[in-house]
Amino acid sequence: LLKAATALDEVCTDLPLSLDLPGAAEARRAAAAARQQLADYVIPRLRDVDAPALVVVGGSTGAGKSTIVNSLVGDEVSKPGVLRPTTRSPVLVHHPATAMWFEGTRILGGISRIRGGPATRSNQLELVARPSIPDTIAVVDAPDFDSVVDANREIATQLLDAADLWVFVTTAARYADAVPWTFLRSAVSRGMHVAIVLNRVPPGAAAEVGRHLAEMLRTEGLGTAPVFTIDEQLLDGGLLPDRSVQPLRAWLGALASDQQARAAIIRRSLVGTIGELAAQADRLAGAVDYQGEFVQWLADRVDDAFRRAHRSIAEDIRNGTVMRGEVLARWQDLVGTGELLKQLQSAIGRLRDRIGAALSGRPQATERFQGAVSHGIEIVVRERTAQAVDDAVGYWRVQPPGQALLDEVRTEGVDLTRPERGLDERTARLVRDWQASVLELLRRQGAGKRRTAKALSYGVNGLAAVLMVGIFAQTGGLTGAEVVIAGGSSAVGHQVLAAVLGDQAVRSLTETARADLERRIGADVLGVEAQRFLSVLERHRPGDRGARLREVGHQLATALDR
Amino acid sequence: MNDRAATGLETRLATLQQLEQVAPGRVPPEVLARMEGTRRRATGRVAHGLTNTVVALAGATGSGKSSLFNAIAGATLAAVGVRRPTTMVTQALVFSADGVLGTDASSLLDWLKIGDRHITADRELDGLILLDLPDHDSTVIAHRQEVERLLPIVDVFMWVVDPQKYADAALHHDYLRRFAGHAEVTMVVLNQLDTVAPQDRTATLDDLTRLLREDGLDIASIGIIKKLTGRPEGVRVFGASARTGEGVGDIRRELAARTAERRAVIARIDADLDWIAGDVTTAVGDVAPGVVDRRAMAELGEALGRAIGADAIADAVESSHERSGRSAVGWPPTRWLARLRPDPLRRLGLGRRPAGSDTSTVVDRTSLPPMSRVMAAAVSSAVRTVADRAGNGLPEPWRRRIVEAANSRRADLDDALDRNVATAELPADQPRWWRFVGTLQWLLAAVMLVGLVWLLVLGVFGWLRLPEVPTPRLGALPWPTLLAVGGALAGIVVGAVGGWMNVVGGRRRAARARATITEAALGVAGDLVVGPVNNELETLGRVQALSRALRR
Repeated sequence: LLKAATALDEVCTDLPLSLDLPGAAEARRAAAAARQQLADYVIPRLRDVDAPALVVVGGSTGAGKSTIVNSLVGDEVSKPGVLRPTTRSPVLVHHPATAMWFEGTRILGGISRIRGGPATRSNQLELVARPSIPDTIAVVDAPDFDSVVDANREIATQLLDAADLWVFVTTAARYADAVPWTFLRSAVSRGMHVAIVLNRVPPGAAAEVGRHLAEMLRTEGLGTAPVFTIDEQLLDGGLLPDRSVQPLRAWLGALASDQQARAAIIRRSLVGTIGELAAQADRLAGAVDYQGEFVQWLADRVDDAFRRAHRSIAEDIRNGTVMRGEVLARWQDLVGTGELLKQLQSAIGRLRDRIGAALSGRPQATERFQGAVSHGIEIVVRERTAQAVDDAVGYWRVQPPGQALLDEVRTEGVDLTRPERGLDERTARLVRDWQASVLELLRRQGAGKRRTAKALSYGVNGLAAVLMVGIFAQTGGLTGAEVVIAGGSSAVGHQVLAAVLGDQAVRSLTETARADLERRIGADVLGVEAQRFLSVLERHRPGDRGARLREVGHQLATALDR
Repeated sequence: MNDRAATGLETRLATLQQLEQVAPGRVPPEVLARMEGTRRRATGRVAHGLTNTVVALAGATGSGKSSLFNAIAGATLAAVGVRRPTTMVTQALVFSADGVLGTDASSLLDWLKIGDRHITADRELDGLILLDLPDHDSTVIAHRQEVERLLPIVDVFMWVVDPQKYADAALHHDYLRRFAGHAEVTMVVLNQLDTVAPQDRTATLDDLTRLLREDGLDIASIGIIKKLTGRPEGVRVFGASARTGEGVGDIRRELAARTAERRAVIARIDADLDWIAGDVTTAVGDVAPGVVDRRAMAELGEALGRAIGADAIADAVESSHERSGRSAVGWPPTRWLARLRPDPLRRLGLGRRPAGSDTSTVVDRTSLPPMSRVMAAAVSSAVRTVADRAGNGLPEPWRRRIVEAANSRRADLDDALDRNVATAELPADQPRWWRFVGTLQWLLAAVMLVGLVWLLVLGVFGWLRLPEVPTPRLGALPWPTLLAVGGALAGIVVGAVGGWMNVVGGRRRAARARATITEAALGVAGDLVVGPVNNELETLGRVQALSRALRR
C-alpha cells in the first residue's frame, strides 16, 4: 500500500495537463491536492499508524474556532478577535511528550514550524505544547476557508486534507452557507469522522436551528455525526465557560483514551482517502488522456493542412500550372528565337551566346527560362505554404486551448500564424538545389553514352530546360495555343533528348526529377513549417502518463482490498 | 442637473447603439452580447421613469436583510427567522406619500418581475422601492439565481453584512469586486452591530472599509468634502443594528436623500456603461488603425505587376525595341537579319496598334497566358503582405477581418488585372533620331556604293586593259577606295553606335513599360484591395473612437 501510494505521488508529479481544456484547471488542482494529501497524510499515516491523531478544528470565518480551541485547552493559545478573518496562520496544540511527531517535516512538509510566539507569515504553523491535551491526539486551529484571504483557504484545505478527524465549527447564522457544505461533502466521500459544533446560537433558537441542521446533515449523509451546540454568550476571559465545551471535551477525551475506537476512526478515514485517491487517479488519467487526444487532434490538423498543401503543389507541378505565364513566355523566348536549338546543336552557338550575354549584360534565354521556372515554383510553394499555415492556425483557433497555445508561443517570440521568416530564402535554395541536381542527373545519364557525351556536355543546360518542360507539362494542363507552343517545341526537344539518352531513360529521368522536387518541397519547406507547430505540441504531449496513472490507481485499489 | 445628466445618458446610450451596429465581428461575441444586454436593460429601466429609485437589500444568509427591511419600513413585513436561509422570495416595499401604488411604480415592479409588493405611506421616503433579496451564499441555488437576475437591473445596492460574515469570499470575490465600478450606487451596512463590544465597533467598521477598498470600491468622503463635491461619489458604509434600531435613522436619511435626488438610476446606468466601455476598450486595444501607406501601396503595385508578368512584357518591349531599332538604324546590308526574328511584343498580342485607334477603350484580351495559379498565388502573396502590414499591432480578430477585407474582391481582382494589362498603353512610338540615323545610314551606304561602283568601273577598265582613268587621290589613298571602305566602316560604326543606343533606349523603354503596368495594377488594386482594407481600417477606427466616446 505504501509503495503504491509513493508511486502515485511520483506519477502525479508534473502531470502533463498544460493545455487549458475544459476541466484541465480542475484536474491540475486535483493533482496538486492529491500529491499534497499523499505527502501530508496518506504516506505518513501508513508509515506510523501510532502517531497521534490529528484533530483539525475548521470552519468559516467568525465561527469561533479559536475560541473553542482555547476553551478546550483552557488557555489562550490562538488569539481570537472581531476583525475577520482572525486566525491567519494555523496553531497546533499537542502534549509535550508528542513533540517529535510534529516538529519534523513528517507531515505538512510545506509549512514551516514556529514555537513560542505567533506566526508572522500565513504559511507557518505555530506549535504549542500543553499538558492538558492527551498524548494521543493533537488539535489544530485552522484558518477559515471562506474569507477574502486566499492564503487562508489554501492552508485550511491542506490542513483538512491532512486531518484524521474534523471538528467542524459553524454558527446559527452560517450553517446553511454553501461553502462549508462543499467541504463536508468531501469529508463524507473520504469516510472522514466529523464532529459538528454549532456555535453562537442565539438564545431560544437552539431547538429550531438544531433540528434544521440535523435534517441537513442527514440528507448529506452525515446523520451519525455528533453535534455540539454552544450558545451565543459573553466570554469569560476570552474562554467559553467550561460547561459549554464540556461535551466536546469529553467526546475528544473518550476518543483519546479509547485506543481501539481511535484506530478504527483513523483506519476508516485512511481507507476512505486512499479509495478516493484511487478514484481520483482514474479521473486524472481521463483528463491526461483528454489532453493527449487533443494534442493529437491539433497535430492531425497540422498534418492535414500541410498534406493538402503538398498535394496541391504536386498537382500544380504535374498539370503544367507552373509552366504557364512567365515560364511559358520565357520558353517561347527560348524556342521562338531559336536559341534552344542552337544550344542543343553546337558549342559555338553557346559560346557566341555567352559573349553576347557578356556584352549586352543580359542573361541568356536559357538562364532566364530557368529563372522563370524557379520563380514559378517558388511562388507556388510559398503561397501554398502560407495557405497551409493559415489553415492550421485556423483549425487551432477554433479551440480555445489551441488559441491559447498560439498566444503562448507568441509571448516567446514565435509567431506561428505566419510562415517562418526564412521561408523565401529556403524555397529559393530548394529550387536552386533541385535544378543543380537535375543537371547532375543529366550529366550522369549522359556519361554512360559515350557517343553523345561530348555533344551533351555542351548542351546540358538546354537539355535540362527541355526536361523541365517535360516535367511540368506532362499531363497537358495547358490549353489550345499553349500546347502548340509548349508541346510542339518541347516535342522537338524531346526528340533530341530521346535521341541522346533513349526514350525510356528520358521518361524515367522526368519521373525521377519530379519525384525529387516533390520530396524536397515536402521535406525542406512544408516539413520545416509543420515541425514548428509540432514542436510546440511536443511539450504538451502526455506520453504514457495516463496509462501509468490508471495502473497505479488500480494498484492502490487492489492493495486496499487486501 | 438631472436633465443634463439624463441628456448625457441618452448620448451615451446612442453611442452604445452605434457601437453595436459596427461591432459585430469586431469585438468578441461575449462583449457584444453584454453591450446589447446593457443597452436593453438601460433603455428598459429609463422607460419606467426616474421618479422611483429601486434599492436592493442584498447580502449573506443570516446577516439580517429582512430585519433591516422591517426596521426601515417600521413594520414587520418580511419574515425573520433563525432557520437559514429565511427569505425565499424577493419582496418589494413601495414608499409613497399618499400610500397608493402609482402606475409608474407598478409598471416598474412588473418590469422587475416582482409580484410580492407592499405599500407604505411615507412622505420622507416617497419614491423609494426597497427590495428584500434572498441570500447569495446558501446551499439553495435558486436564491443565488434570483440575486443574479435582479442585481443587473436595480438602481442602488445596499449590501447588508454582519460582524461574522463581513469578510466572506462569497461576498467580496463574487459581488463587490464585480460591481467595483458601481461604488456611487452602493451602500454597505454592517448590521448586528449590537453583537460587537462597543470598543471594537470602530475597528470592525474600519476593517470592513479596508476590505471594500481592496475590492476596488471608492469610499465616499464625508463631512466637508462631501458638502463641497455635492454628491456621494463612493460607497457609503453604515454601522447599524436592526434589533436595537441603532443607525437605522442614518440609513433612512441616506435613502431619502438618494430618492429625492433621483439620480441613482442615471448613476447606475452610467456605471454599467463605464463597465462595458472598459470591456470594449480592452477588446479593441489602443493601437489606432492607420491606412495603407504609400510605401505598402507601391510594393503592392510592384508585386502585382510582377505577378501578372510585367517582367516578361518589359523584356518583350526591350527586345522589340532593339529589333525595330536594328531595322531602322542598323547597317543596311545586314538590316534584314533583324526581321528574321519574330517581334516578341506582337507574339504577346501587345504589338503596335494601328495609329489613331484609341488604345484605352479596346478591351483586347492579350494572348498572354490567362491568369495561372502561379500568378494567382503571387497575387495572393502580395495581398497577404499588405493585409499583414495593415493589421500589424491590432487585436487578433481585427487582423483577421483585414485579411478578409483584402480578399473580399479577389475574383474581380484577377479579372481586372488581366484587363488592365491588355489596355495598358505601352510605349511604341519610333524615336525621332531613328529617321535621321536611318537616312544617314542610307547616305553612307550610297557613298559606299558609289565607291564600289567606281572601283568596279576601274576594275573593268583595268581588266579590259583600257587606258588608265586618272583616279583622284586624297593624300595617298585613291577616292573610290576611300569612299567604299570609308562608307562601309562608317556604316558599321554608326550601326554599332545606334545598336548600343537602342539597347539603352530599349532598357529605358522596358522600365517605362514596367512602370505603366505597375501603375495599372496599382490602379486596380487601389479599388479592389486597398479600398476594402482602408474601409475596414476606418470602421475599426470608428469602433475605437466610439468606445473612447463611450468612456466618460
